[in-house]
Amino acid sequence: MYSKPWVLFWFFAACCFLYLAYSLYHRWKGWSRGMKTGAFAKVLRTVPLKIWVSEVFLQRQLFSLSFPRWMIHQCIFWGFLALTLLTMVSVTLLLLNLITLDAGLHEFFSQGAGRRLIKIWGDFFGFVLSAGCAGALARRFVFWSPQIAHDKTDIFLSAYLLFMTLSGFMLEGLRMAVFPSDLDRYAFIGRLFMPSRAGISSGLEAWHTWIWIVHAFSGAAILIYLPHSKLLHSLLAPLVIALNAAEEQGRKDMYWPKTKQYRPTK
Amino acid sequence: MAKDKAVPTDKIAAGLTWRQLVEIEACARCGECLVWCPTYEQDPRESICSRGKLGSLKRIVKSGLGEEEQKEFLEGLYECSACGQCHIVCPVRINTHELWEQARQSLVKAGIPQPEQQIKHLAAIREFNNSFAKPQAERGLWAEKAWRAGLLKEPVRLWKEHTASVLYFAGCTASFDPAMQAVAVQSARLLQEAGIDFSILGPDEPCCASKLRRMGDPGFADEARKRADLFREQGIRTIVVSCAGCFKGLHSDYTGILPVSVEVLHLTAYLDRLIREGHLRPSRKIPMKVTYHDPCHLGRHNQIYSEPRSLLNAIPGISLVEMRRHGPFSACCGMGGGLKLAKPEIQKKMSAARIRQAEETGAEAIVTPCQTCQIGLTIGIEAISSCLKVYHMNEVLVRSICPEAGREHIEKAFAATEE
Amino acid sequence: MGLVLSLGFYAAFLFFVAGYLARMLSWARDAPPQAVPERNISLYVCLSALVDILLLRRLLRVNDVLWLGEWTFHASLVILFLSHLKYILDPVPAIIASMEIPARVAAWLLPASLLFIGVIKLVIEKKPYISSYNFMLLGLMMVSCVSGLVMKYSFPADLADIKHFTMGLVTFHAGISPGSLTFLFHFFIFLVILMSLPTHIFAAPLTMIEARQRDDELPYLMHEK
Repeated sequence: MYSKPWVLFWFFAACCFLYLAYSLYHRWKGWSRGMKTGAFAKVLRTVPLKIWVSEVFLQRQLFSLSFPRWMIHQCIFWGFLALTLLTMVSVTLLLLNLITLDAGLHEFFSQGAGRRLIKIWGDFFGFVLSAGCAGALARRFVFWSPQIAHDKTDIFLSAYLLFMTLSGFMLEGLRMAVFPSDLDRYAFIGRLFMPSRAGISSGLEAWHTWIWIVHAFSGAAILIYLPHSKLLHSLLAPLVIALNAAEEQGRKDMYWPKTKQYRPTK
Repeated sequence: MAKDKAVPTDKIAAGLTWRQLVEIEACARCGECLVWCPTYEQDPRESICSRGKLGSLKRIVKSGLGEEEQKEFLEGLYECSACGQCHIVCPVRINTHELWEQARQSLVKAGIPQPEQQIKHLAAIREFNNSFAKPQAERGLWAEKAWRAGLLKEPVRLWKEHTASVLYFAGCTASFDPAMQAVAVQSARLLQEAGIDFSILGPDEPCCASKLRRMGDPGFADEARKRADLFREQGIRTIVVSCAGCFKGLHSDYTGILPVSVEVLHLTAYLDRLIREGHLRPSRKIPMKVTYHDPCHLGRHNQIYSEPRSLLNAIPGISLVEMRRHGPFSACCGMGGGLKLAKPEIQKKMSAARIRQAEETGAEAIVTPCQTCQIGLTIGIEAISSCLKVYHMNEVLVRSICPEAGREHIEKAFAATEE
Repeated sequence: MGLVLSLGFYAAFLFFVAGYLARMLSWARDAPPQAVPERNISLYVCLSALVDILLLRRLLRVNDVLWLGEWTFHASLVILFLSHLKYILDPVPAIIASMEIPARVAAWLLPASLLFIGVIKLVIEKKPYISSYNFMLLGLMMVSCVSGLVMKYSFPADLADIKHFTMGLVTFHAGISPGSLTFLFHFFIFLVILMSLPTHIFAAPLTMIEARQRDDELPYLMHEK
């Protein structure tokens, strides 16, 4: 294929992970300054699973407030989760393959018939994530929803995720143009990013490498950005929802009302 | 962790629970809080809404705020009635109003005090054991005056003379505020109509001290324990309160302080039960179209929505029409959380907005089971010269059961005794 | 012609070095003795200072829109500088050779970011005062970028000739100057910039480490709010 500076990437990714781990540890130290209230005991015993599923995965509260926002957030949520899962599974299989414990799965997914699933999964959820980010940016800049805070870090995050999906598709399209394979028909979005045959020249391999570098390193870099942005809510919101749900178990006025009809129009 | 010794970030963090410290960082910045906030509606600044306050709190426990920013943050923190609307609508479920009250307490402990007017009020509560800065000896006088004026079926007994099965806890407002003593009289009369064996503490009745919790006084827990001890010593097992603020205090704030064996009920819920059991029979027809205002401390904070409504529906002739914002979405009148002390003009605007919402329903009157809300809504009515009337729940019930104890009779009788 | 250019290059370079040394000496002379208290330079301080420089963190804090332009400008400059090193290194190391693609992107980003900064400072924020030195430098940069782009796309110069010339410069073997007029222009502008290079390039690491050493971080050290 084309050359990728793997060693440098792994070193950088490791640094990013370490930074994230340190940052979360630092935050945890900060939280432990607070008073202990014995909530853990409650959570372990009585976390209402139904509330957690409906609030964290289905985001029912958001659904009851606004359907378009719920749609956008679901796209971003599932797109991000699915692509992260894909990355984690691929990396795990790669590492297992290095110590020959993967039972042939790495081979299956990277070269064999399983590659189809990778292509479809990646393209579908990449599309879903980019649609979500595009929707979020449109809501912010085209529809000017009045409740949005125009904080630069918030804007950066949506743009960043959109950039990641687009650069990923560009990379896929470029690779498919230069190194075609018959499994490519499953990459139904990446196909749209293929440069025309006429534009292909020999210098493309360098472009490949650099776009890969930008995409991969930016992807790893999000781990550095995560604790400093509102993306932290992706880790903390489920925790807060679980803790509060445990305390306010099944409150009918908070967990199941039809909120939208009472919303003051602004 | 703290670089700036002037702002004790660690101390402030230590005054919050670890869950609250997590909550502060979990905000998704969606802004839903400011869409619903009745205070933000009157004063649309980022420092007023939950999102702004969470952002400032995050920075204050991390590295402190600059002088200007801190001033703005404190203004926003106290320009809040802790009504809890934001908690209901927050997709992350941050328990906002608890956080604001805890933050106020934490800041005070760290040496950053409340607004001047709040400090004075809290000092008065401690000194006089009531929030009206009047001698406690006058506390039970409403009962004596009412009996002498023939407004009650029998004299109300003091707990120290008669250990009843139920304690009626009138609260400072109903005991001292001349405009609100009718609430206490009517509560007593209704309990008597139902044949309930109750007593009052009279001059021994302390302030519930819940205002200390609302405004972040660190002495709340100790004061609460004193009152819990008093109840225990007096052998009190069931408390019926007529004020929503006292109810939130004794029922919720005292969790872990008052033993679970002590039952605290709000008068509305208690009366609703009595009507269902047939002890009270609203018989006279009251042909009136009314709307109901859910007090924050009764509704959102304690999930008492249906009992007051079933009580109203039990009164013949009453037709209840709901405001658009009712139940868990009831818009706060601004009287809670110390907001009226800190920013009276904002409270006036908030209650005026609420009255306009009530007017939209076409109702003749707005009914509420909380005397503090009644005062607040009255301010709103006066502010926009509305034709709407505001009644306490007791008033409507009394007119249907024992109209001789109606408000105008009480006011006339009490005015006569003054002369 | 080649000789004139070579001599011009050496003169400009000497001027730059001498000027910098002179400035350093004057600072050393003027600094009061107790200005810099003795403090330990720890790894944390050095790493933080590095992050301050790589991300232009202090500017990010005070003006994030300007930061975008400035960061893009500085990053593009670094990439172009690294890429241009291929003209004075023989054989060209793989890492410098691989900078070609980023350099092609940076070559467009540099003038774009300069324009962006110009618009921000002059039109949007309407800065009341910008020194003529600043104007001159930015103008020179812009001219240099444009001439570089023209040289690449419109009037391509013979790279072998240029390489021969530049290698001659660094090995003190004065070579024939390349025939391309655009190259001559581009090179001349470079010499002028070299002579008037701002000192913050070299002072920044020291000031950042100094700021990080102190507890209060000197928050508005480089940029006012």
